[in-house]
Amino acid sequence: MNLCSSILGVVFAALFASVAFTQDKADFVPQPGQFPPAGTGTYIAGELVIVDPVNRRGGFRLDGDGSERYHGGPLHYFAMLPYGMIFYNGAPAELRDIPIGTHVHGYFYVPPLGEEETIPSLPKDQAQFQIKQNHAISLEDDFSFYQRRGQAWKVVSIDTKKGKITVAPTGETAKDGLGKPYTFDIDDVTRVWKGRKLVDLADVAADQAVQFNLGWAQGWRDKEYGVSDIWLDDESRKFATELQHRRHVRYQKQHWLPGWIDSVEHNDFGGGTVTLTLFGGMDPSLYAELKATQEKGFGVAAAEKTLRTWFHRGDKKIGQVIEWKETENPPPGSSGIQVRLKFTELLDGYRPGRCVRVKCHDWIFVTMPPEERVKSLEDQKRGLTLSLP
Amino acid sequence: MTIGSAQRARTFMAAVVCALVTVAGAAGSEEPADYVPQTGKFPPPNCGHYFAGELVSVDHVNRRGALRLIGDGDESRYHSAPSHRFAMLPYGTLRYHGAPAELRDIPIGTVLHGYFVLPPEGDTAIPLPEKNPSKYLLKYTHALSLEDDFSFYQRRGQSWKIVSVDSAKGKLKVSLIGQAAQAAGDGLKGEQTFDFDASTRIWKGRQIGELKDLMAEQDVQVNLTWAPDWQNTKFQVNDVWIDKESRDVAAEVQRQTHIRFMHHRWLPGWVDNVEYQGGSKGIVTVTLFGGMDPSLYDQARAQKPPNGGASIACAEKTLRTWWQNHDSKGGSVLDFKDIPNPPPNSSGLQLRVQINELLEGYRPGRIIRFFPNSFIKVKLPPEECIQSMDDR
Repeated sequence: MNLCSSILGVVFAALFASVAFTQDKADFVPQPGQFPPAGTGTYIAGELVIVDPVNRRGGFRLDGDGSERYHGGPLHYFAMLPYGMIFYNGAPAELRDIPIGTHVHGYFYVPPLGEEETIPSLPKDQAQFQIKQNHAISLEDDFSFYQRRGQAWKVVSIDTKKGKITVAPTGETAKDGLGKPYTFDIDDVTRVWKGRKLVDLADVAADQAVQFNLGWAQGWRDKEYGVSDIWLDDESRKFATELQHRRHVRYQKQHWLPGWIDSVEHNDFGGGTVTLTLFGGMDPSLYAELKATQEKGFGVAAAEKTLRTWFHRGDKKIGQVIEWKETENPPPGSSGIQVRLKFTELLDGYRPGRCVRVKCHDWIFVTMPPEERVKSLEDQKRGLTLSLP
Repeated sequence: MTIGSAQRARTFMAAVVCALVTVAGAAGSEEPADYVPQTGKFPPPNCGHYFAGELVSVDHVNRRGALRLIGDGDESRYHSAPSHRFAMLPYGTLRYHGAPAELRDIPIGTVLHGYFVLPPEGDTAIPLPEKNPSKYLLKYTHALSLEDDFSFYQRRGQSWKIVSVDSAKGKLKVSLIGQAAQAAGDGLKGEQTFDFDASTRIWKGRQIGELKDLMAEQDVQVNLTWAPDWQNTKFQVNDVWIDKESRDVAAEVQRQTHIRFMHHRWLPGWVDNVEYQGGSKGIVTVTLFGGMDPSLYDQARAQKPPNGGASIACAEKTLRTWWQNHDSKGGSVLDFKDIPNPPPNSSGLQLRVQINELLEGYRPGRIIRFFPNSFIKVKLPPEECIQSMDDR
C-alpha cells in the first residue's frame, strides 16, 4: 500500500505541478473525449458546505479575501468533471467521504460546451459574484493538497489558553494555498492524531512537522481558519491515508473504474471493437488488478457524466481485451491506460466521448443502492443540472 | 478533553433522553395514531412512527435530508421507492456517537433510527411530488429524533455480543444483549450477521485497532451502512467500538463538537408567553428545547438574578437565525424553573427575561435562540444566516 501511495503521489504531483504554476491562463473549455492540457485550470479554495455525492456536485464557501463577498456572496456551486479527481487524507476519495465543513482546494474550468446549465447562473442581484469556472478537475483537503506537493507545516508555537497555533511551511512550498507562516484557531474540538491514537492538545509541541485539515473560524472573511484535525507524526498520516485508501478501494470495486470511449470500430451484426481510456486518480492497485486479469475480459457499463450507471451489473457487456497500452506522462484526468476490447454486442452508450465504468473479472457483482442508479429517462434528465437537497 | 468530567453529565443526559425517546417511540406493538404537531405544544408521548434507514442526502443548514429505508424483503420497494425525505421538527433531537449532534456531524452513509410524525399544518418543507407520487411514499416526514446505531442501542441499555468473527468470509455474527433485548420493540433484534472488511474501523481505547482485535464474547457497539443485500435487512459495519473507553472517547469528541456548535448558534427554544409592560417593554418567557448537553442548560440556569443576563434571537422553524448578534435583544433573567417530567423534546427549563425593546418575532409559539451571557458572541457563516425574505 505504501508503495502504491508513493506512486500515486508522484504521478499526481507531476500532473498538477504545471497546473499550479500556470493557473490563470486563458480559460480552457473542456472538450468531449479530450483531457485538458497540463497547465490549465483555475485554483479556487473554500469550505465544503453542501454536497450531492450521487451526482458529484456541491457547493463551497470561498476562502475569505477581506471583501464583502463573504457576507453577500453566494456559495460557489460546482460539478466534478467526469475525470475530476478527489482526494481526502492523502488517498483517492468520493465527495461522500469528505465531511461537510472541510476546507478544500480545487482546480476548475468553465463548463464544457453544452453543459453551461449544469450549474445554473446566479440571480441578477448576485451576478457580480458569478465565477464562471465551476467544473472541477480536482478537489482535495488540506492534508492531501500540501502533502502531495511536498509541503508540511512546522509548529512554531501553540497557546491553548488563547486557542491559537502558529505554524510555518516546511519542505517544498506549494504555489497555491497558504505558503507562509500562519496562525490558526485551535481548541478542544480539534482532533489530534499521533500514531494510531487520538491524543490531546497537550501533545502538540513546537518543532513538530504536521499536516492538518482546516474548517470555519469566525474570522473567515479575513482568511482565518480553525484546525479540525492535526496529524503529528508520519505514522498517523500514513494510517489516515490507509483508512481512506481501504474505503476508496471498496467503493471502486463495487462501482467499477470510470473511463471514456475513445473510438468504436463497428463490425457486422452488432459487434465491434471499443477503445477506452481509464480516468486517473484511482489507487494503482485497482489498475494493476485489471491488468493482471485482462485475459478474462472486462465488463463495461455505459455511464453518465456524473459517473452514475443504470443497473450496471445487468446493463453492461463483457469484452475481450485485445490490447492494453500505457502512456507515460498522461494529461491531467487520464490514467494513461488505454484498452481495446472486442465485443460481440455493442451497447448504445459505447460512443466516442461517452463515459463508462469498467469491471475487473475478479470483482464481485453487486447491485448499487437505488438512489445512485439512473432509473428512468426522467431521472437521467434531472441529473443534468445541479439539484441540491 | 477530559473524559471523567463528562461522565456525570452524560449519565444524566442518557437518563433524560432515554425517558424522552422511550415515550416518543413506539416501543410496543401498537401503531401510534397520526399526530399533527401544534404550534407551541410539545408532542405527546408515543406519537412517533419508527423508521430506520441510511442517510443519503443532507441539507444541514435547514435540518433536512433523506434516508434510504432499511430493506424489508420487498424487492419492489427497495428498487423503486424514493428516498424518504424528512425535515427535523424545531425541537427534533439528533444524536451521534452517544452525544447530541447536528446533521452536519453525521456522515452520509450512516444508518439512522428516527421517530416521525405528520407535517405541521401548512408546513411545506417536504413538498409532495407534483405528479405520479410513488405508492411507497410515506406521509410521516417530520422527525422528532434521529440517531445512529451507537446512540440508539446504547441509550436503550443494549449492546452487541460478538458470537463469531469470520475474517475470510468477512462476516461478523453478533447477538443483541442488554435491557429488553429479546422483547418486542424497534431496531434489530436477536442474532444478526453483518458484513465487514478492511474498510471497517475498529476502535479500541483511544486508538484505531485492527480486524484481529475483534473477538468472540466482546460487548460492542457498531455503526452500520449499506451492504449489497440491503433489501433483505443486511448491513456492512462501518465502525466497531470494542471497549468502554473507545465508546467514551467517541462520545466525548462528539459532545465537545456539539458544545462548541451551541455556543456559537445558541440554544433553541420557543416563546411561551409575552407580558407587555407598555412602550416596547415586556417580559418574555421561553422554554428551551431538549436534547442538548446538560452543561449548556446549567449555563442558562447560572444567569439567575442578580447578575445574570441573556439575549434572545428570533429564529425560523429550521432553527436558522438572521444575524443573531444584531437581531436579538438582551436583558436580565428574572427567574427560571425546571418543569418536572417535561414532555418529550422539551428540556423542561423555562426562563423569564426582561426585555426593554421587544422584537416582532417574540410571539407565543415562535422559535428563538437563547444566549446566556456566558457564551461568546460570534458571527455565523453567512450561508447559515437568513439574509432576505426570499431566503426565508
